[in-house]
Amino acid sequence: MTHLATYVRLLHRSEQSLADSLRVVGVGHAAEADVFHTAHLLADWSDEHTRRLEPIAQRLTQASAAEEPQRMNHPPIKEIRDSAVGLPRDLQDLYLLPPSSRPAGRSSRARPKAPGTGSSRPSRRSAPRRPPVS
Amino acid sequence: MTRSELPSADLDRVADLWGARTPHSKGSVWPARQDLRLEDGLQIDDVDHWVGSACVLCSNGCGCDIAVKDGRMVGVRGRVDDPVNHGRLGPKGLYGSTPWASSPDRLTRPMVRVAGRLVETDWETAMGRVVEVSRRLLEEKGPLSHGFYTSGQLFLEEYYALAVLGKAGLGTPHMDGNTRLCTATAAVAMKESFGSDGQPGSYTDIDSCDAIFLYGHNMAETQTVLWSRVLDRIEGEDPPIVVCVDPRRTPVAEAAERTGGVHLAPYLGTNLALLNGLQRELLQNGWIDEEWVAAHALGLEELRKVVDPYTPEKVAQICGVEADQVRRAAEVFGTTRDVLSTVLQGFYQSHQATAASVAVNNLHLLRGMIGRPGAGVLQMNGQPTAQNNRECGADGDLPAFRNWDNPEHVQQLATLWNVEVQQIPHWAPPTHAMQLFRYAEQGSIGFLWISATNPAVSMPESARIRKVLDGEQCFVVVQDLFLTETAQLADVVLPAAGWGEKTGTFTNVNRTVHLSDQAVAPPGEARSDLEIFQLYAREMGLTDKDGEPLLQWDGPEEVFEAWKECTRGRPCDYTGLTYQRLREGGIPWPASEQHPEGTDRLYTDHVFPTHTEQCETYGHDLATGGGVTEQEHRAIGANGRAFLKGSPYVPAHERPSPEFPLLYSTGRTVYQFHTRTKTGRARSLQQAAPDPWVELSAPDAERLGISEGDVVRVESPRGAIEVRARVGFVREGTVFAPFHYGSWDRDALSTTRQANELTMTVWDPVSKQPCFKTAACRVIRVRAGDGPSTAPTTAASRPVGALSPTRGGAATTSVTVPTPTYRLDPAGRAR
Repeated sequence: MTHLATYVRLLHRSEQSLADSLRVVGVGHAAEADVFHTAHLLADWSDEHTRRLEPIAQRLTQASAAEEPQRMNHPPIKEIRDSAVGLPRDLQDLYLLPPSSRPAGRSSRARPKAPGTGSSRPSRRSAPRRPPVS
Repeated sequence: MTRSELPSADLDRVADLWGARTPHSKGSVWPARQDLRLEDGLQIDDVDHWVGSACVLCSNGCGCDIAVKDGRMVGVRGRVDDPVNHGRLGPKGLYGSTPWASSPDRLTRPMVRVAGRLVETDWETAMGRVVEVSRRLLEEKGPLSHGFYTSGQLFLEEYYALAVLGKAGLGTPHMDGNTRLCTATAAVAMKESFGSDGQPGSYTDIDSCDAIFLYGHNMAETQTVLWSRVLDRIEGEDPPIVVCVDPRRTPVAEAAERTGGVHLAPYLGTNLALLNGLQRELLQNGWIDEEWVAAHALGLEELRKVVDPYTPEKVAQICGVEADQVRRAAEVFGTTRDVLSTVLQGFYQSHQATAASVAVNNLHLLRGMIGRPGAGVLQMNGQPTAQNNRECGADGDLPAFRNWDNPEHVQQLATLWNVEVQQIPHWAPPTHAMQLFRYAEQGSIGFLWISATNPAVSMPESARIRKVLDGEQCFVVVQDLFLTETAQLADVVLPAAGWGEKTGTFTNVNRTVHLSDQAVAPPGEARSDLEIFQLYAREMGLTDKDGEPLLQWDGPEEVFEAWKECTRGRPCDYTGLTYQRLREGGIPWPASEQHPEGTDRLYTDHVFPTHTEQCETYGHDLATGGGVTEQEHRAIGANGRAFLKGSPYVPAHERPSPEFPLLYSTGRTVYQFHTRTKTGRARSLQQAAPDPWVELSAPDAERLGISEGDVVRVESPRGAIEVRARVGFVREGTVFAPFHYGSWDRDALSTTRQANELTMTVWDPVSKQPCFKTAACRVIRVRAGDGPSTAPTTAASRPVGALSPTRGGAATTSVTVPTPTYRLDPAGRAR
């Protein structure tokens, strides 16, 4: 039980961290329209994963107060590198972030079933998703 | 809609878009009718001679003859023996085919920019400038500094020459065409479902279908002759049921209501939700051919999971349509014997384009409705030669539907061209148009060669595109017939020969190849696009690995012969065709040496080109565009079976907000083509649709205090236009603007007419086709107009109120003639 709680928390925090990092890179490199939009699409998937993990993570946290192993968390990406050459390095950083829905390849099994309409979407999506006008 | 009686002279085809009906019953040959237009005052006897060709003013590819008098093109007539059109021509073809050629503003000499201004010069100077910049950049930065952006309007031979030039000569992956804006999704949807590009269906499917579904396809305006074929079925015995998906009340939508079908008008950007709902209904009601699917398709269970949440009620909520309409449309699809589907820009240029278009393929695969007469899919094209750009690889793909990710395919090309494999760019997917312009914006592409297209008007977010073309960071070469809005921003302008002024072949939507012979000489110093590419290759000294010059062909027929070798054994096999054979009429590929008569429809054996060794792509995830690897593809083991691929709906990138409460879509009118380079110079057509407009629904207009003809300002986060309002039949909450109108016929560069000022830089993750149909906007009344809008009244833009009808086209002739035998026509064979 102890380790399960630890690793569910890890998954939960990592999804959140990945979502945040995707948005930082997406917004930072918004001049690359596909980077902006794909990053947000994937961040939405991570939000959905986070939302679905939430009740389990809550329950397990209450059930267990075990200490976490060392070096559990990858810090999220807080800022982007400037210049076009910075982009591949930022994408590489994203790629190295856990967990399941990393932006490489296909992840159809990890995808939420049907995100539905705008109103039922996760609240973190409320920020306008419009790239800056050049 | 007005109708005329046969036979008829002096027919105004501006007023009568589709001409007289020749009704016929299901399974019978579409009767022939010959349409003709000669310049005012000329009679048949005045024509010196006729030259065989096919029309290039839409993607339909109607066989025609060009009338020549005193060395000038003076008219056209439809070819009765042609399997595409059975003699007919549409308003654009009749009125717009020839006047541009003798227009006084044709480019007749090259131009170069001197001290900020374009000045006329000779070929040596202009090409000298091009070669100088090209050489310098190749030396400093290598081939990735070079980009080529071409068209859907050149000839096959010209695309192939360009592809060899770019891939074997320079070695740049940065090549694409405006086909990215028009048919990229058609190609990609077929690749994802069937393993390769290649139109499964045929126009003859119209003659025998029981239902026809038009998805985002206002065929009545974009392919008028094809629509005549549908109308002739509707007015005959056993008419098909029409189902229309379109946010406007188009003539197709009206036909849907007349035939007991359905008009579904979903919110812009929600096509995939609707299609997921239709697929779910088929699965829920057991309207699928389980046995066929098990034998010939993969992915049924995955698809079932993806579409399961899309109940009719949920679809109704997302798309703003009635749940019962969804049920009815699915019932028509699910319970009718033979269904034909056609798809165009309403899907291709909209949100989740590939996934929605693939879903149409899925519907056919679920019922096993492919490869037999009447049960087909037509993933349409927007332009007359778009297919050839896709085949030849001037759009970045490898020629003859080869897979850039398959080393064997690349080796075949290296052998054919006698170059090192490493010379051919295949280390990454080819660069698509939107990315190409991004590189030009950043200056990593410092040399951009644009042929026969006008991105300054046709690409999204016009202000940005103008900046890219106008900036110092990129040297721009433009090759065209006229000084277009794009050419005005170029560093070098090269005068090109147009249709009728050069010889070459091209292939239409249903794979029919036509030869277009040179009818007249090009004006002044204008040269064919093929000659221009060859001149550049020669001046640059582009050679194969033995030092032999590349592009060393003596005229287009030699290029065609070289192209045939490139297609040998590929899905688009041209090896059975010759110029001589094509002079007798159009022939659909594949036409191998064993079957030179060609092929009416593909996949009659239900075997698809999905073998790992054979396919054009290993496929993609439809939501992200992430690629499937060769290893994964091999593991799936499709081996001739088609793919059923699904994806969930997600809302469009830009949705209405309090600030921008309306949805904005660009589109077309029946009288204009693209940026009006030809149609805008044809008096009958230009007078029929002289100015841009925006269409508003009556409730929206009332809410905003706008009346018919008022000048309104339409704004999006990216720009604004000021045009007159048409209060019409677009879906409430939606604003429609035609994209044809730039400023070449204005005194000064005017940006207040151009629909793409408002559109957004965003594209489909798989096909990379930019989105022209999902932006948000607001509309503000500026002032009263001086009368109603000049938007046409004859088709989708018709007004709510009574206005005098659009008419006044010059006289044309249309006569019924005996219907010949069409060799590949299944109805003809059955008799």
